[in-house]
Amino acid sequence: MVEWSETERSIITNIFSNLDYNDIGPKALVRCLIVYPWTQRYFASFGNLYNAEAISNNPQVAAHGIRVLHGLDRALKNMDNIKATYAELSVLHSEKLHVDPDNFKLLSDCLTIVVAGKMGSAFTPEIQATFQKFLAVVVSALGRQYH
Amino acid sequence: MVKWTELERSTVNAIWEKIDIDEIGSQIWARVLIVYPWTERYFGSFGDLFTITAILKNDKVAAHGRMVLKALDKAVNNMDNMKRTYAALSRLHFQKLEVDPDSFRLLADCITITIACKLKSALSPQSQAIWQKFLSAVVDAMSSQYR
Repeated sequence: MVEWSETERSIITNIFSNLDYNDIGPKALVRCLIVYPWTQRYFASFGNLYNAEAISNNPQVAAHGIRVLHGLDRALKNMDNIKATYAELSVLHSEKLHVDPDNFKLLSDCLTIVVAGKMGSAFTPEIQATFQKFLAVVVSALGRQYH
Repeated sequence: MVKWTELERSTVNAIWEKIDIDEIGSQIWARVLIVYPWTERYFGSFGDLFTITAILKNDKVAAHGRMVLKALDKAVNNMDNMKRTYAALSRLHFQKLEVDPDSFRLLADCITITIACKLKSALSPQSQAIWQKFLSAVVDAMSSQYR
């Protein structure tokens, strides 16, 4: 089981309590679809993803970005049990959505860059290390039920 | 050989012009050493790296960061010839310094995050995509002399 210090818990809680989910969620997913264009294959039903501008303005992308970020809330509230918390979502992504689990890391990298861009110099090395640890645990839990 | 469009060349140069090597250089190594602590094994001669505070204050860490960014300048100015530009440095890191080439990727990620903190929304998704292509070409060139 992953161990979290009090400092790490409060760093993660602080980051999320200062995030505007409606802003950051869409930005992270938009970035992922632009920087790693093969990820667009999972969103064929989202309509126009033909160029960066279309992706940035696509309301379905934005809505999905917000949903994903709210999904992270569950990990935030269950930091001692992230694996169990995401078991069902992991099965969904594996068996129904057929998402390559490598993509979870790509999205988490993009979320890190968006949060870094938002926090600026407040995104210190220590905060970066803790945030990346949190996301790595989430990514691992989401990949867990793949077989 | 990696192909670069005019847009990619101008984007990389535009980002690079905004980087103050002294300011950004001193931060990138601190980030690598704090976020990926196993990299400390290469810096036994740097003195106190025992705590986050020590790493952030360590002059040798800052100086080394500046040196690495100055070397990155060579890539910016030789985008069509990175492998040859970095052949000697690659051999040095392989034969003499015995650096795990995965570390180049970790450093590249920390450079991108430091730039994201500095440029914030000015590092658009499109710019990030181009910058990451540039850094992965650098990482490739730095790994090219490894056998």
